[in-house]
Amino acid sequence: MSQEKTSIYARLKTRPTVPIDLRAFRPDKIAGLKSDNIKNIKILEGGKKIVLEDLFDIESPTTLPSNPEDIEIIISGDGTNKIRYLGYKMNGGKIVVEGDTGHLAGYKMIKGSIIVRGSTGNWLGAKMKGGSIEVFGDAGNFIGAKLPGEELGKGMKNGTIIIHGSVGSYIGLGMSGGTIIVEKNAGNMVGGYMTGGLIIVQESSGDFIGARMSGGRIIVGGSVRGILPSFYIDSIVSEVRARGRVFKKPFALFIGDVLTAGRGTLAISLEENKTILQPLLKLVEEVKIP
Amino acid sequence: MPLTLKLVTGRTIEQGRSMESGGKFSDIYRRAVAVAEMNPKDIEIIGIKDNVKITSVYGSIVVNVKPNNDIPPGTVFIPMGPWANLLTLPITEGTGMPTLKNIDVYVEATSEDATPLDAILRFFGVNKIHYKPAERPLSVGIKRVVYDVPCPFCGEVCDFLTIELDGEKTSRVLNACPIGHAKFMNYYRHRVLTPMIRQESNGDFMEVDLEYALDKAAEILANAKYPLIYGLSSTCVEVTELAVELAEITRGVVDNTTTLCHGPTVLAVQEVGSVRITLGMAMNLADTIVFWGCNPMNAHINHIRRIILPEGRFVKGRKERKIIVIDIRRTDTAKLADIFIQIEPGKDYELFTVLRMALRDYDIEVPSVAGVPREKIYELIEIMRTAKFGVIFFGMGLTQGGAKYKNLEEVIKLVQELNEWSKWALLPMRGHYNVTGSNHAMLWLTGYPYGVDFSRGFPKMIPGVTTTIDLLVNGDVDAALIIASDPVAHFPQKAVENLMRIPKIVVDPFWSLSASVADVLIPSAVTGVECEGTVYRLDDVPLRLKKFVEPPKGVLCDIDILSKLIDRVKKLKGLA
Amino acid sequence: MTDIIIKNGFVIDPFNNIKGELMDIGISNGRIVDPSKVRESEAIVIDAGERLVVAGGIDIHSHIAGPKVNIGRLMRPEDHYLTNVPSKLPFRRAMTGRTVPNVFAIGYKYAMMGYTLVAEPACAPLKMRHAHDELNAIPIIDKMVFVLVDSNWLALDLMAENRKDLLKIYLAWLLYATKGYALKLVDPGSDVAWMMGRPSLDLDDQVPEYNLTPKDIIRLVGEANESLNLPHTIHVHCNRLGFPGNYITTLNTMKLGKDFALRDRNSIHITHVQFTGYGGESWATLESGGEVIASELNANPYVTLDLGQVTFGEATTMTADAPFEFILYHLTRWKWANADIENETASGIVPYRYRKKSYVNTIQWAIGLEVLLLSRDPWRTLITTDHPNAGVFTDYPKIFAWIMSKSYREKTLKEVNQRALRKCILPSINREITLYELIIITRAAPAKLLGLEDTKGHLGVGADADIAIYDINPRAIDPSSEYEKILKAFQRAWCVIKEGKIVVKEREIVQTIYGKTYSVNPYTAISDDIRKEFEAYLKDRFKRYYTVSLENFVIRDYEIRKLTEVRIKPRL
Repeated sequence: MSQEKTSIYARLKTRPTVPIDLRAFRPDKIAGLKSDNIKNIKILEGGKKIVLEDLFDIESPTTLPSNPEDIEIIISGDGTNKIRYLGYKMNGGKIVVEGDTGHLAGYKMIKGSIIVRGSTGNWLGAKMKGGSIEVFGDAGNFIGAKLPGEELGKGMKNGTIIIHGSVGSYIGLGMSGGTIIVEKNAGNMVGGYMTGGLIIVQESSGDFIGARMSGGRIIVGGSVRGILPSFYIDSIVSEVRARGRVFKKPFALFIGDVLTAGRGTLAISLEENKTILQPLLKLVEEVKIP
Repeated sequence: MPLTLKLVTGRTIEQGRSMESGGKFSDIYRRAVAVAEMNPKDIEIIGIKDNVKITSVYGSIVVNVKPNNDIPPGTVFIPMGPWANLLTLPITEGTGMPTLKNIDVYVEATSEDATPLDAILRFFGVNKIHYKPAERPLSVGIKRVVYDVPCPFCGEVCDFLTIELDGEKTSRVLNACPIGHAKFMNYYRHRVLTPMIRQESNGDFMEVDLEYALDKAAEILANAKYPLIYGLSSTCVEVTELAVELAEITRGVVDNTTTLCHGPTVLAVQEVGSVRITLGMAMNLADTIVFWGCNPMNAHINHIRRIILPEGRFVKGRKERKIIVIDIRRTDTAKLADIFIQIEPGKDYELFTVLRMALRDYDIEVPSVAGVPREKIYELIEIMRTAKFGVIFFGMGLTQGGAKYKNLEEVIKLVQELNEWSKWALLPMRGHYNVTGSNHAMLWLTGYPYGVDFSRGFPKMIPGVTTTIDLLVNGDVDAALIIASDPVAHFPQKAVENLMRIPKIVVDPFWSLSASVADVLIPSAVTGVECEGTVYRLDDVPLRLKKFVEPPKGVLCDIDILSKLIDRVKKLKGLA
Repeated sequence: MTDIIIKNGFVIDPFNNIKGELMDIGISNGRIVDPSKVRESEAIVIDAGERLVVAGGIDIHSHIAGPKVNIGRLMRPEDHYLTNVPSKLPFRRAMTGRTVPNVFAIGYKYAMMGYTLVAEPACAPLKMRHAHDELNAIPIIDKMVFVLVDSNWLALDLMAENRKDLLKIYLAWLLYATKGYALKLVDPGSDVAWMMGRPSLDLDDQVPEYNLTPKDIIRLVGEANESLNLPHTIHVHCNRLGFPGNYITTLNTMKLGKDFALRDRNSIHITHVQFTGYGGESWATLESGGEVIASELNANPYVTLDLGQVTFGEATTMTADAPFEFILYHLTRWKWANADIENETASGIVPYRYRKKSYVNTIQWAIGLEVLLLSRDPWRTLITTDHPNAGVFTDYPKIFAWIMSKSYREKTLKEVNQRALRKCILPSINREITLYELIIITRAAPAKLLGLEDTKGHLGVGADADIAIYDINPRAIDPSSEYEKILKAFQRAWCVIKEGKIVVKEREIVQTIYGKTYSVNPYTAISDDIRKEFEAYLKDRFKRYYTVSLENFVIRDYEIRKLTEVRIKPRL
C-alpha cells in the first residue's frame, strides 16, 4: 500500500512494572476519533483500570481518518515488552512497536499489519484470521496456535507471520491455514497438531516436528533433533520452494502423522540431518546421498 | 576430564524426611539435597574425589558426589531443592512448567568446598537471611490415641495413621511412612510463632502483633496493581477458595503449585480428557501396573504397600499383578518391577507414538525408539492389550521435560485407545497432599485449574502468560502472597531473583526459605495437626484432615488469616 | 431481617388452589406470613404492578456440582473463554462458563431465572464431600444431592445374600453418612460391568459376579426407599440409555413401580426420559417413542418423570452411565473423560453439540416435547434438560415457550431436520400448556415429588419466602402468540426473593447470600441394637473394599454450610 498513513505516536512515560492490556488501542477502534478521545481510551495496568494518557505520551492529529487503513500507531518507550493483547482482533491499519512487545500480540487479528522492531512474548498471532505480523527480533512460544482445549484447526487460519529471529516451542499448534516463517531457529514441536497452512524454519528446529499433524506443510532448512516414527519417508527432492523462498539443496520429504491418518508433509534438509536420516534413506528407492 | 551430562532433578525420601525433621536450614537437609548422584563410570572419567562443580547456562554449584550404579552414564541426578534450582532453566516453553529435567550441564572435578546455602540465596539476590526458628510450647499430660488420621504430606493422603499423644506431644506414629512419621513427630519444630515485618533500615525482622502484620499485608495487596497469590497445595481447599476471592478483589493472579508439578497433566486433560480411577479400583482389580516416570518408593512411599501388595477383591496380591517400570534411571521402584524399560531422557513422546502405532499394527520403520528396541515395544503393547485391568501411574518424569504437556496428552490417548481392547486407566502421582484439591476448588470457582488471572474482573488462564513461573521470570507482578509453599526453595533461579524484587507476604507455619526472605511473615497453624480442613487425594477422593492439637497461642489457621486479610483488603478497596 | 410486602401481584399458587388473582404476599423472618401481619411502615414494599408472582422454581435434575461437573470444567476450558461476566463486588462475583459454568454462574443464573432450589442428581458416595464442597460454594439457591447406589458392591453384596433388612439399613446409613437426599440408580448394575471391562446391561441381563439382574436392583432399592419412608422416590436413569429401541426397556422399568409401592403415592421417578425414549433399530432408523411413554405414564399412577429436553446447541454430556459415554466418544472422537470410583460407580464426560439439521437430534428434541404435551398430568411430568446433557438450564424459557405456544413450535419445526419430523407426531399435536400448568410443572409438582410441599413450591403461610416475580401481566398476554414475551420474562425474573431477602432486583443480582443444603436422615431413628449389628458388618466389608477408613468416609454436619436435615422415621 502506497498511500500516506496518518501516524499516532504513543510513548511510554515511565517503565511499567506490571503488564499493560492495550487491546482497546488499535487502528480500527480509534478511526474517526478526536485526539482527546484517544487519550481517554480505557486500558488496564495490571488489574487497574486507567486511561491511555496515564501511561503514554500521545501525539496525534486532532481528528483521525475514519478509515482504519489510513492509520498507523507507533508505540515506543522503555518497557513496551509489558504490553499484552496488542492489536487484539485488529481489523485493519498498522501498528509499529519500536521495541519489544509482550504476550498475545496480534491475537485473533483479522486484517492489517503489526511490525515489531524488537522481540515478542508468547502467543504471537494466536488464532489469527488474517493480516500480517513481522517481528525483527525473536518471538516466544505458541505462535499462531490455538488455545488449550479447543478443537484442532482452531489456531491460525490465514495471514502471515514473519520472524527474523528465533522462536520458542509449539509454534503453529493446531493451525489450519496461513504462513509462519522463522528465519532462524525454532524450539520443540513445530507445527504440532496442525491441519493446514505452512511453516518454514530456515535454520534448526527442536524435537517432535509436526507431531500429529493432519495436513499442511513444514519446511526445515537446518538440523532437527529428531523425526517422529509416525512419519513415513516419501522421497528425496533436490530443492524446495514455498512463498517465494527457494531452498536449493536436497530435502527428504515425509508424510504424516500416521496416527491422525494425516497427509501433512514435512521437508527436512538432508545435509544437516544425515545421522538421523541415514537409517531411513534405504527405504526410499533410488536415493543418492549428495 | 570434565564431561557434559544431562541433569535430572527429583524427589528422594531423604529430601522429604530431612525437610520435615530438620527444616530447610538444617545440615541434614543440606546433606540430603546438596548432593549429585552419578554413575561410578562418569565419576571415574571426570576424576572426581569428593566434590563436583556443576555448571549450567544459569549458574554453577559445588556439591558432594554420591556414586550410584542405578544412574545411567551420561546423567547426573540432584534432589529438588535450592542447589538444583540454581541450575534449572526458567524456560517454560509457554506451558508454565520450567525445564527441570534433561538439562545440559558441564561437570568437572573440584577441590572447592560445597556451596553453602547462604551463598545460594545471595546468588538469588537475597541480601540478608534472617531466621529465628522456635519450638512451639507443648503441654504434656493426658495421654491420648487418635485413630484414622489422614497424613498431610504427599498426594497419597494415607488416612489410616494412628497417633499417640502425650498432651500435645506426639509420642508415637503408627502406619506412617518415614516422611509422614517425621512430619507428625516434628510438627512443633522450626516454627514461626510470632508475626514479623522486615525493617527497611537494616533488613532485620521485627516481631509485631498479628493485627499490625495483617494491616501491613493488606496494604501491600491493596496497593498492588497486579499481585500474585501462590502456594495453596499444602493447606486445605477452603484456603484456596479464599485465595481466589482475594485475587478477585485485588484483580491479581492466583496460582497453585500445580504449575510446577502436574500443570502439564492438567493442560493435557483440557485437550483430550482423561481416564481416571480411584486407588481402590487398582487395588481390587488391576492385574497390570505401569509406573512411568515416577518413583513412588521414594516420593509416595506407602503407595506400593497400599495398592500393589495387598490382596484386592479380584486380584490376589502382588503375585497376580505384573509391574512394569518405565524410567530413565533404575529407581527403587524399578527394582521391584517385573519388567524395567530404560528410556533415553526426553524421548517419552516418541515412545508413546510407537506404542500407539504398535497398538494399531502400523509399521515401525526404525529399529529402536527412545533407546528401546522395536521388539520390546511390540512385546510391551501386547502385555498392555491383553491385560485384564491396567493402570498407568505417572509422575514428573513426563511433565518436566521433553514434550511436556504433549507427553501427557499422548499417555491419555494411549489409555483411551487401550480401552478398545481391555480396561485401562491412569493416575498422576501428585506431590503435595492437597494440590489436587486446590485444582478442584479453583475449577469450581473459576473454571480453570491453576494460573488464574483476574485482571479484567473475570477469570482467565493462558499458559505461559498467567502462570507463576512466566509471570516471575518476566517480572510481571508487583507483590506476592505466598501461602503454605516455598517457591524460593523450588523455583528456578531467575524466577526467585525477580521474586526478591517485590514485596512478599508469606503465610507459613514453618521456617521455609521463603519465610526467611519475607517482608511480612505471618505464622499459621499446621493444617492436619492443629487445624481441620478438606483435602483431595491424588485420585480426587476428598478427605477431612483432623485437628487433634490446639494451635500455639496467638497463631491462627490459614483460613482465619486469609479471612481477616480479605476483610481488610475489602475495606481498603472500598468494597466492604 | 426487614419484612417485605409484595403488593398487587398476580399470584398463581396451585397448592393453595389460587389460579391467578391479584393479592398481596407478606414476608417475615424468611417465611411467608399473612400480609396483614406485616407492618407496612417498617417493611420493604414491592409494588408488583399486576406482574406474575409465583413460588421460586425447583429443578429436580441438574448436574451442578460434584466431581463430574468439575472434570467437565477442567476438560472444557473453551467453554469459559467467551462466556465471562466480570464481577461486581461486593454484590456479585465473576461468572464464567455456559455448559459447565462456575459455581457463581450456576447460583446467579438460576436465581435470575427465578429458580431457588436445585437438585444435583448423582454423586458417588466416596466423592460426596466434593459435591458438598461445591454446593457450599453455590450462591443463593437451595440445593441437595442424590447418592448413587445401583452399582455399589456393598449394596449388591447384601442383595445377593438376600439380606433385605440389612440393605435398607445400609441405604439409610449411606444417606446419613453422605448427607444425600435421595437414592439414584443410573443404568442399574451397568457400572459393575463397566468396572470389569464388560458391556452395559439390559433389565434382565445378569450383573457380573452377582446373581442379580438390574430389575432385581431396581425392585430392591425401590422397596427399601419406600419402607425407609424417604421423601423422594427412587430416581432412575433407565438401562440401555442412548440406544435406539430402548423405549421398551423404559416401559418395563416404569411398570416396576407398582411392585414396590407401599405408600399412597408414586414410587418411581424416571429421569431424562428423552434419552430412553427411542424407537427404531439403529441411529439411521431412529424413531420417537414419546407417544408410547406418555400413554404408559397416563395409565400408570406410580410413575413420575422428567424430560431431559434437547434444546439444541452446545452441551457437555456427563453421566454415571460410563459405558454410554464410551460409546458416545466413538461418535464424537474428540474428548472423553472417565472416572471409576472404587466399589461404587463410574462416570463419563463427552462434549456434544445438538444440531437442528441432524436427523437424530431432531428426533431427540421431539421426544421430550411429545411426552410432555401428551401427558395428561402436569403433576407427574417435569421439565429438565438434564443440564448440561441435553441442553443448558438457561434454555428453560425456550422449553416453556415451545410447550405454551404452538406457533413457536412451528417456527422451530421449520428449522429442524424435516425427514425426522415424519417419524414424530409432534407436528400434529395442538396442545398448549397454560401458565397455571407451567407453574405446577416448575414449582408445585417438583416440591411434592421431593416431599418438601410444606415449605417449598407454594406461597401459603409458613412456606419459605422463595418468590419469583416475572415481568408479564398474565391477564394481558397471550402466550400462544406472544411467545417472545414468555421467552424474555422467564429468562430474567423481574424480582426474586430468597428466604425473605431480595436477591434479584430489576433483573440484576443485588446481593450474594447462601442457601440451604437439604439432606435426609433415616438412620438416627433406627434402633441402637440394629445399628450396632449393622456397623459391625459394615466395618469389616468396608475395610476389605475401600482405600479410605470408615471414619473418614462419613461427612459431618458442620462440613456443610447450611444443613437442613430432614429426619424421618423408617417403617422397617
